[in-house]
Amino acid sequence: MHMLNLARDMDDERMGLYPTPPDPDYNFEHFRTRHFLQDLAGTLEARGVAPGALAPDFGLPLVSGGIVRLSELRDKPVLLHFGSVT
Amino acid sequence: MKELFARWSDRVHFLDVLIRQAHPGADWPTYRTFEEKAYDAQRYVDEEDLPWPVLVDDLEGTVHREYGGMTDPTYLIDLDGRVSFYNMWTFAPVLHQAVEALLEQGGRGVVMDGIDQVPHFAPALTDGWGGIRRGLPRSYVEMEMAAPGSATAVAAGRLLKPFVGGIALRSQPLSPETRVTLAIGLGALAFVGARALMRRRGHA
Repeated sequence: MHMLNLARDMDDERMGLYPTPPDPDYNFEHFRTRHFLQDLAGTLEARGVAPGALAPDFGLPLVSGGIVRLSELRDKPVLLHFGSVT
Repeated sequence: MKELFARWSDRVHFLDVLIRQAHPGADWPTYRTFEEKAYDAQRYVDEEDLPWPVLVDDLEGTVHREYGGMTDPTYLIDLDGRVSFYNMWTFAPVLHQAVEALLEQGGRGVVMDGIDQVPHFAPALTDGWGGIRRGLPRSYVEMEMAAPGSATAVAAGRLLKPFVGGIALRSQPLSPETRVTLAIGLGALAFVGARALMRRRGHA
């Protein structure tokens, strides 16, 4: 698995060994200045769901199994964090 | 975040949504399939021993994008399912205040003007190393190329964590006394530094 990842890391796309990730603009291969600038621009324009607006409902799979639906959590407030492993 | 969880988990639901790789690297590559993403999420939960539920967004980041697509945001959602507070750069002390304010007003409505747009770099500096480490060595090189000095700053921040971690990773706002002490300390440092500089110039 490790070797596989290493090989994949060596600009494998050009070699055509692995498929390009869907929507490479979102699932970017390389962290660039523009990603950082996009974040700063987003911050300035308050990109996201505005305070007071209804939070868009979703149903997403849990790592531990099952599905969590936001609209079913109305007994307590919800802290909803988005983050990545790296 | 874990302190926040320990304090509020009985009165607030905590949800963590795994999004795309921010700093992909050899062992944690860009996701090509949903299975890879789900596998990473499981690995992450195990490694960090996370006590809260972790959800996995789809490969296209549908939910993440609906919520603005920022890199590390947190929303506080009230009992009616509306956004009570939007912390664009997750910062535990701010969230702590927001949760407290929302519970005080009965769990409904907007708190603290609804949004915090401050780019909080402090937690990333002292606690961001885990993310970069997983993507080594590419993550480091790419961060330096994207924002010169940033990866090194995070590496240095990790070493400084024993000293500044209490401030940067605090889950509660600083008390006025701490602020005054910090201000005096920084002032004294600046004074000593300035004097040393002047003396050196005098000798030259």
